[in-house]
Amino acid sequence: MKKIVVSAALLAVAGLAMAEPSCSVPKEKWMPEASFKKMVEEKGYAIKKFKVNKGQCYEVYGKKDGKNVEHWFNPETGAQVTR
Amino acid sequence: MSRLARPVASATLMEERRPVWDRFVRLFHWTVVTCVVLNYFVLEEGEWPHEWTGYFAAAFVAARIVWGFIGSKHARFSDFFPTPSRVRQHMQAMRSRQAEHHWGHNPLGALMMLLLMALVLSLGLTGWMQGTDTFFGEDWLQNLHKYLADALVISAGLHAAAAIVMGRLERTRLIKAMITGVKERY
Repeated sequence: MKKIVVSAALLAVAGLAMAEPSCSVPKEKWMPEASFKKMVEEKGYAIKKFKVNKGQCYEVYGKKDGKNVEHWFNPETGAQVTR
Repeated sequence: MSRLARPVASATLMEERRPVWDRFVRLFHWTVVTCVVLNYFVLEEGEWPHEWTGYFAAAFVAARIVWGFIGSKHARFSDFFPTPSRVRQHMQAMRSRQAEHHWGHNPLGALMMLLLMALVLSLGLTGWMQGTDTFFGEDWLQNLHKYLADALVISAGLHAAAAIVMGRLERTRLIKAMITGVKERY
């Protein structure tokens, strides 16, 4: 019984630890994908992959300053968000 | 006289404790447990502590494989490698309720060891690949890494459950043995 409780607690913590950032912006306010990509590229990213993550943030895999980075952005403002 | 002789005789015939797991095997076991718990439950995926914890665990598995050839008696693959005939014999014995006793790993336990070690290594590999330019951000690889991690945690749970159940059935303190190194039968 104790073990079950401990594992349940661990799983709960896991849910928190692994959570990606979420952005609560209604879809109609999202900037178009094309202009978002353009904005991000102007910030110095070479985009490899663009996604919308589970938390409804824009997500970019790409290179910045020679490094592979995975960053999330507010889909309305394009500001970077962290987890 | 004869009443005294019997228990003495059975005690000497039936060995009750034997040092089985050497220090490196125990250090390896608990190090990997710690790394797996940290990486699955605590550390943020995609960040350097997660990555290095994974590499650390994979390096320990690599060292364990070497130890499987040069280590102490029960640490060696030759002692426990689950050949088909060993597995068959073990299953038959279990079915006839005359469980064989193994001081080291039993053949099914040994299969689990190999699976767990293979999973840790493949997690290290798929984790490393995700940081390469070629595979960075690839969904299929991220998913594969996740499925492997789930499989590892489920297998580790089965392994722990089997240790508890088999310890009771065989009346052997299996979990304590992985701490002290000594298997005690009771």
